[in-house]
Amino acid sequence: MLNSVSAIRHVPSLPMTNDPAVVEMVGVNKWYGAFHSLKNIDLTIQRGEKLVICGPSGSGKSTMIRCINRLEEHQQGRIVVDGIELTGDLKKIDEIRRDVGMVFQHFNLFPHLTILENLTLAPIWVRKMRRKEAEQIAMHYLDRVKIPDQAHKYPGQLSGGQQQRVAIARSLCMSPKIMLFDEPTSALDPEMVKEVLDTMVSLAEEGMTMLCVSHEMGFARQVADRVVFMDQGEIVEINTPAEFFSSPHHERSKLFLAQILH
Amino acid sequence: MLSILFVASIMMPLFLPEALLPDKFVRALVALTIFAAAYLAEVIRGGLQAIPNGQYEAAASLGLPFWRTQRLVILPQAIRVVIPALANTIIVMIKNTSLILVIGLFDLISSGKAALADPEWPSPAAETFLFIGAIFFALSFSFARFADFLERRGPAAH
Ligand SMILES: Nc1ncnc2c1ncn2[C@@H]1O[C@H](COP(=O)(O)OP(=O)(O)OP(=O)(O)O)[C@@H](O)[C@H]1O
Ligand SMILES: [Mg+2]
Repeated sequence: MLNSVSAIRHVPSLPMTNDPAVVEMVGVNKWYGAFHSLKNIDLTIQRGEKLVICGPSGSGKSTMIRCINRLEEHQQGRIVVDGIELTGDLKKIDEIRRDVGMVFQHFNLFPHLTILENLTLAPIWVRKMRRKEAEQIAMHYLDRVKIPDQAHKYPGQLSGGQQQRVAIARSLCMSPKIMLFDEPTSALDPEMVKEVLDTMVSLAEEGMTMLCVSHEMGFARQVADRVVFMDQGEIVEINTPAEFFSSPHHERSKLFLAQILH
Repeated sequence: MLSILFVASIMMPLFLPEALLPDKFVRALVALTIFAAAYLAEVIRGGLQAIPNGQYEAAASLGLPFWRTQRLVILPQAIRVVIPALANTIIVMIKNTSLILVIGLFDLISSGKAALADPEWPSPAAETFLFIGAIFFALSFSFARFADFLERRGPAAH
């Protein structure tokens, strides 16, 4: 034991073990008025880790991941993202948001801009990149999500699956350290789910730190390091996907799985 | 509209000393401007409310600060939504200029009437009014076409 610890000390580039957590939530509580929507959330995410968050509707999944980039404000506890604590400080919030990508259920592309402009907007105005360079990076990521030929169309002219892949590419253009996904496939027609999941799998394989709210079990099994199960604002169970889906520890997890498996 | 003009033309002289009082025309201009601004602001507010929350969230999640978001994401969409209403308001404002008559200034129509009444410069009534009509029509119509052009520009509505 002692040996292995000292061994780690001598290898500073070893991943995960001596790296500080990318996201650290400690005793996080949130209320909407009188409604207690997050209850004592403790969650630590290491660099390169992939988490899938699931749970019944209204359990606080969206609220939790939206706290990480401050789309929602927590009232109690600490959230530290990449070494920066989330407080009321707007400068720090923008700093964190630059490095945290988010993909929404309804894509939220900017409809008045072309796909290419959607992708270059933030790199140009936030990262102060030159247009040429931003466009090169944008084309690189459009290539990666396999729709380089749509660069000059508007979002309204694309299918749902294509729009969601553009949304993923738009986040990637900011070279985020973490990607948050809030049910990225649940607004899609079934035949488009796969193309988006494939994109996410390849992102995971490249080592991106990912937090996905998703009920896609196949995806969870394939890429998740841990599955986080939430119910009524609490984290009920954190488990490996294999164990979570075959023999969950908690009654509530069993009930939930029984429901989504019919 | 009328009440603002009255305040500008009749009330203001009661409050302000002669030396500080701007010209009657300037006062009417300021009154019209304030009136138009209030109406236009209301129209644009309607457009802002039409922008879904997801647009703000997407911009925020990319790290765009508040004013950048307004300028690059929100306003371009909001204004596009309200171009027809905006054009309407502006055309109404053009026609409203006639109201300055009530405070004793001459607008286009009353200038025409004054020309008719001038014995030194005999002008046929029908033509004068037709001409005035043509000016109003040209202003309103060209503006309407301009608005139409703006509306057609950019992504097709979906
Ligand atoms: N702005 C709000 N004001 C008041 N209550 C809210 C607000 N947003 C969410 N809630 C409540 O907080 C709870 C958690 O919501 P949240 O959106 O995080 O659930 P979720 O787990 O993402 O559910 P779903 O699977 O339906 O997306 C819900 O009961 C919801 O009604
Ligand atoms: Mg949700």
